[in-house]
Amino acid sequence: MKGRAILLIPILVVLSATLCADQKPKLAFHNFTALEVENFDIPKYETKDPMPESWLPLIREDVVQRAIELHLFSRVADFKDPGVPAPASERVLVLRGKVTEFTHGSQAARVIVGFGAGKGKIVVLCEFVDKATGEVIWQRQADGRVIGVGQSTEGAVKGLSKEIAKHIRDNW
Amino acid sequence: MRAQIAILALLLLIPGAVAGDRPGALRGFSALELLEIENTRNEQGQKLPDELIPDLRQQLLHGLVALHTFHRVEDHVDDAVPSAGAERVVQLKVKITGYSGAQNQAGVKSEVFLIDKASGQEVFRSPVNAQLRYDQGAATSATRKLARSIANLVRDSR
Repeated sequence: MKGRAILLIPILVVLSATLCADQKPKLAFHNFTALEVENFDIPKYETKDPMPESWLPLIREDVVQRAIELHLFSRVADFKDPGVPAPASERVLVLRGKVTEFTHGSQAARVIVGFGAGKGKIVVLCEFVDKATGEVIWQRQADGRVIGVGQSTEGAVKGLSKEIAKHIRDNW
Repeated sequence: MRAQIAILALLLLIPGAVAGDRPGALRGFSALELLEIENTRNEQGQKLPDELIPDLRQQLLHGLVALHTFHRVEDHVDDAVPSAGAERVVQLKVKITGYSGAQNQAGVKSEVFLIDKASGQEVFRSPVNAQLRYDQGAATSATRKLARSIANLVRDSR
């Protein structure tokens, strides 16, 4: 019995290593010198509530802003970072996304009931694509939530863009 | 005695300097034209999404017309304001200088310039910011608040 358990340990280690390897991008992001962010897609009727289309530029701009603050890419959208040396040739990483879940929630419920009632949520499936080849380098889900009292659902955009920026930093 | 006169003179001068010659600065102008809203990234890379600019412009024009202080605002002639002979035009230029991003306490910063169209001279300039508080909504509400604040600045300068 004890011998079987000992045998299981290396199997589990190999399995977890394989799973972790799948979660890493095919190419580390430091191979890219520029980041472009596209407006995310909102597939109609696939989310619980319809997300206002006017939020798409807000999300895009927030992600761009967070990516600029990382100071990793020499160019993010139309901003050339003076703190990052310009490369001899540019290699562009494109961020695309699809909103897979959106709950508008209720500010009234957040205020009156509390304890997580009426929470707002945005979940996006992000795709990092090599612009030159069109190859998807990495796919990952990111989300933003609003739970607190007196917060508008739009505040979830901040959480979402922060998480996307974290993914970029972690895979640099 | 001289010191008292000097202090009195200073007290009279200071409010004018702080207000930047604003109250009454736009008296005599009968028309207002809104120049294109400038929205470029600042040093920190902040920028209001371009998609919000047409809406901001529309809200701003709406706010300016609602003041009923100019006979003409852009192509809108206000019948409630009588025409005073030859038209004198002031141009309003808005430059977005900062944006906090979409969050619960969103904020937009701008620099507002008022220019005499005939001479090209700047009548005055002023920073105008719109900062939302806990109870207020979102980034789109911040642009509405900014438009209202700019219109109020124009109103207070008549």
